[in-house]
Amino acid sequence: MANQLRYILKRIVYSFITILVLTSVTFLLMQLLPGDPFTGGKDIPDTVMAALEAKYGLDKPVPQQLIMYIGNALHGDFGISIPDGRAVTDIIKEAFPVSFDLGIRALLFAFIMGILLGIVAAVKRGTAWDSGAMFLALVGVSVPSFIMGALLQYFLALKLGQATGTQIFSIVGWTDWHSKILPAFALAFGSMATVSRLMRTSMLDVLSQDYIKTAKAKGLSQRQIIWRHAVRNAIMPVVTVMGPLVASILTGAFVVENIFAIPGLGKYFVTSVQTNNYTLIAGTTVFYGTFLILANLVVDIVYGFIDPRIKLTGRKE
Amino acid sequence: MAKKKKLQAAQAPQYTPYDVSGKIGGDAFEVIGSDASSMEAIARPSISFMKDAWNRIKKSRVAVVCMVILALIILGAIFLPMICPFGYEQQNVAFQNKPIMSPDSVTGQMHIFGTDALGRDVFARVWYGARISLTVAVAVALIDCFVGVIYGGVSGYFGGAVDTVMMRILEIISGIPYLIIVILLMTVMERGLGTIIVAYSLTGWTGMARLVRGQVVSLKEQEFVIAAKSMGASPARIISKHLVPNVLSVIIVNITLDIPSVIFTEAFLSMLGLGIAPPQSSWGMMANAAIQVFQMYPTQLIVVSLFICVTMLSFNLLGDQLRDAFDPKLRR
Amino acid sequence: MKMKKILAMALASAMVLSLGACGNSGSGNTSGSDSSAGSDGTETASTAFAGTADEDTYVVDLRAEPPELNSILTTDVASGDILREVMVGLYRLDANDTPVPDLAETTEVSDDGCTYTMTLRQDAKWSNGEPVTANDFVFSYQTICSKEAASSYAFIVYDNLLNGNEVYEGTKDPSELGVKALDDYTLQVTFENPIPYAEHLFSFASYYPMNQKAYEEIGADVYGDDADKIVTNGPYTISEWTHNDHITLTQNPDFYDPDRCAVGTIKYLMMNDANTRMNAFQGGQVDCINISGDQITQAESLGAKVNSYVDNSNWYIQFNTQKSDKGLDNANIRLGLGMAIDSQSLCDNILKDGSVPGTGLVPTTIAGANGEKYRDAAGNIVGYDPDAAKEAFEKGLQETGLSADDLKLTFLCDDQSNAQKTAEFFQAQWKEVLGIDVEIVPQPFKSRLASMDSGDFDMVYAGWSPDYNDPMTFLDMFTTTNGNNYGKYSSTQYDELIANAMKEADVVARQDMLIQAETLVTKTDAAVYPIYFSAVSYATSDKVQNMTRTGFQEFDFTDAADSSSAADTATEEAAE
Repeated sequence: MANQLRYILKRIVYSFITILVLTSVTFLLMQLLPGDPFTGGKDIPDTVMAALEAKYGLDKPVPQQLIMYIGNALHGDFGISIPDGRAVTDIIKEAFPVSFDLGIRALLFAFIMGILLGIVAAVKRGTAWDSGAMFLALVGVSVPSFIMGALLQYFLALKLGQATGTQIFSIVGWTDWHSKILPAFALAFGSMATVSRLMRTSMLDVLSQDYIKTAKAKGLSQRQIIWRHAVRNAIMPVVTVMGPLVASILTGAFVVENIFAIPGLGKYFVTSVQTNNYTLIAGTTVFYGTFLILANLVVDIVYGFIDPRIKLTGRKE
Repeated sequence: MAKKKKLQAAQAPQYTPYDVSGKIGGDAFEVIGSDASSMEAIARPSISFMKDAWNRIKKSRVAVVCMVILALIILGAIFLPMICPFGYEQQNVAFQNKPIMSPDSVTGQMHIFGTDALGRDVFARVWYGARISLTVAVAVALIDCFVGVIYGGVSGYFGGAVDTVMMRILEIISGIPYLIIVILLMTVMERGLGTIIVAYSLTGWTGMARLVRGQVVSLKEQEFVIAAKSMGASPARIISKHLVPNVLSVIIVNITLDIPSVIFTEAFLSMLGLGIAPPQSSWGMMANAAIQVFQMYPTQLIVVSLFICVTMLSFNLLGDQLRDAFDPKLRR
Repeated sequence: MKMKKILAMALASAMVLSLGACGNSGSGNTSGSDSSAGSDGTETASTAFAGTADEDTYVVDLRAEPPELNSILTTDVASGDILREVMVGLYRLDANDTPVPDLAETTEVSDDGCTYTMTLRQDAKWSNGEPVTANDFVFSYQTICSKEAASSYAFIVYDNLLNGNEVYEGTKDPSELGVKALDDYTLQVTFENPIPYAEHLFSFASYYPMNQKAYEEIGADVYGDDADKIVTNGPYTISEWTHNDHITLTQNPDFYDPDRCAVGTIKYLMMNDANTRMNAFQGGQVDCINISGDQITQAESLGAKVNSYVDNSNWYIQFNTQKSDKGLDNANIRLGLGMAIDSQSLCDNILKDGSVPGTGLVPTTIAGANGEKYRDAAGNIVGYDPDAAKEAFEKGLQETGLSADDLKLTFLCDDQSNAQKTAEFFQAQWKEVLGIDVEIVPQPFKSRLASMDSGDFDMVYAGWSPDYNDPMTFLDMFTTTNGNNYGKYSSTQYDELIANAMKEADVVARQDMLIQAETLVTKTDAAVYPIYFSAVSYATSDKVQNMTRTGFQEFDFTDAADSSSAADTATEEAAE
């Protein structure tokens, strides 16, 4: 236990260093982006440009800017977003809960549905159940969220609403449950496919293992075999992709937020790069980076809990 | 080996025929002994891992059908644009957004899949697009797989400090906003297929690396790896001969899952000016254009979606069969 | 049996439609903010184009978040749309983009045309209860002309006001700026040169007043960031603002001219996706959306009202005149490339949104001398002519000694799908008319600007929207030293024409100079080649009345008082 605690502490220190490096790299790279944050199709006179650069501290050398940025960030000040003058922390505080809400719903949906589909497909291998589950998964990967979202919105929100006369699913916005199902589903669909495919493969691997045969021979019921022995082992590769999946769901939220007009952080994450909004690029990158690195940390720890064979210390034997 | 020989030597006297009634003389039996070399001889021809897999794929009807479909699509992509009466870039703007089976307003020839917003033949464009999309998808999937497997394998196998450092690097790479990388890449590289492959591969391998590493971490404690280690196998050999075959099933599934995301990322990159140059077409770009008008002209979306879905279906089902074929645990 | 059913349904739907039409014409007569048309509402509710339920609320789509509601810093269209409703300035634009006095009750112009002395209304109030005085203007103009405020639109004030440049550079004291409060309700604004469009400038957001007390209490950095961080003086107030989601304005009960408001509440949505907008419109969740060319037939089939307006911007091909290796230093080659584009076909088949072929640089709606439109005076300068294009192109090739295969031209455009579609159309035209292959280079917006700025392009697809209602805003950008002259076009004749026009007090002589300049840059030298004047198409539900949408006012709901009489006569005419 003490060993584990030390490992976790060590990982937290590493994570901090990683975030620092990520911030620095992004900070330097974004300054190389073509163009400046201020010009919007019309030339700005040099004197005005100089005043703008002075206001946002862009007149200083980049290394100095970086040091100042990190210093301020450690005090919780992430600067102000350039075109709208709002504090970056305010923007994140306001928009992230929406993205998080959407992301968690999508993630839960993807995992629960994906794992169930994967189990069904593996256990009923070669039957219509298998084909059906995998066909659903296949549609999930083949139809990306920008198409899925548009189709869901048109058919389930608009057409179904017109046909039944009641708006079961809202067309736009992020308010009550009516508005939250379709976006979460559209966002989750691709990930659900990944999870179910991996789960099926991994389940098949596990089901052919000796200890399953032993369990069968012992006379355990199929339900016991599947839930107590197979799933716990088969879920490993799925847990591994959880980190990247969280990443893709969070950053992929942009498309879905766009279609359903949801005021989330995904929009800022993308548009900040398009508009060279340096402070917001740095702010969202640090924020998402931290989030993802922590997610990976959690995944690694959870890994240790699920699979007793893995030693968290990672020390070479 | 030495032990076995000793054993044979010890056994030999037991076969000495014994006299029961005297009717059967000791000479009735001939001592043939045991030939050490013939005992070790392999009765069936040696089947390599790949050959064995191939044999099993051939037996699967599903796999054969999938391969035929993929072959047809590839052949179609190569030859159909050449014989199609319309060029993929040929515009007839007055005859735009027509449904399937519309005879052209000028030549009267049939637009089998209709026309797009610039009055170009969708049939020609979808087959031409297959060239681009499939090339990019396969190339990128293979590169991602190659880099990801090596990176993940090394990181997972060695563990410890190596693993820590490699995984932190991976986290940093996947943490940088992709759009920044793409826009910067655009300033230094010419547009084209090669650029798009580089652009996707720069970060695309991270998912695969993480997956492989996770699998290797859990596999390396298993008995067969410990056995190989104790017999003095080199890390390279253990990773390539023992670990990779065991994670191959997961790798294959991940590759097949990667392909559609490559197709749509290609469209995104091409829009930004990194990928193929207009008027060339690709499935991703066609889907992009089609979704904008799908409420009015649904056939454009249906055609390109069908192509993508059928290809994906074939890739995935084939992937499943490959998974089974490559699975060492299912080998006889 | 089946046939009967269908017939019955068709009849029923026809009745519903006709009822809807009745409701439409009925509510057309009730003008202004008066919303007693309750019975009409119930009749139209069953049709697809009835719009949102609440009669006294218009829900319109703004497409994007207004980034900056601080009038001193703001530069963009969306923010301007909101500010126009919540703020009043010295002048405002009526439904025809003509400036009419607003806070300025009387205006006296000095003989040299440089000094404007205005008496202000005394019944205007800020939302924090303070009266609107001349000092609010002085504070606003002095702030915008300071480097500390770092307004990217500062030059639109300091370039015009007396001593503006010196004050901005800090060589003169802010009190010497050409704006004075003679007393609390008398304002004197002095310009450096006579400005024919001064009244138009006074209606511009950068010339709005600012309440000093509120500005300092809230803080310059965060002013205008949220509904409670702005103090306004206009017909509406911001009652709710959820960033990137919606912004709601309600009628200001203290405003001096309540008849101006078209409706009690306006809710602006921010929907970025064209399909989303259409779905929300069909679903009755929004009353006004912009639609793309392809969506027009869809909107019309729903029975929605579809309109369009010329949005005052132009699109043109700008040639990099420095690229001599590609023949782009030759006027004939440039002219050939330009004339090869069938802009009529582009407008009819690709854009389909009401855009019209560009016959010059200055769009049709821009004001000219003596109340005429400039375009009417200037006439058609350029246009599609494949034979002349071929001829000019061949001539240019001979002059430069290049062959068509040497050119290997590239065409820079935005990464938006519409820009790329247009570029592909051009590409096919160049191939067809001139027989050359042109490579399309799409780039994200900022990258395109950077490429233009560094001269790293052959031809670029660029657009321009006016800063004020005068042809000059479209023409002074091609002078040799102008920062927007990315093609590095340089002509002493052109520079002189523009410089003289700026000083010319006689409006007709000035206009002649501008027409000469426009002809020079687009036809004789063909440094830029106009393609089209862009338009915006939009669909509205039945209930929206008294909404102004013009090139200078993307949305305006404050013209009810002046348009009610006009609307009445219009409906009467229609009824006859």
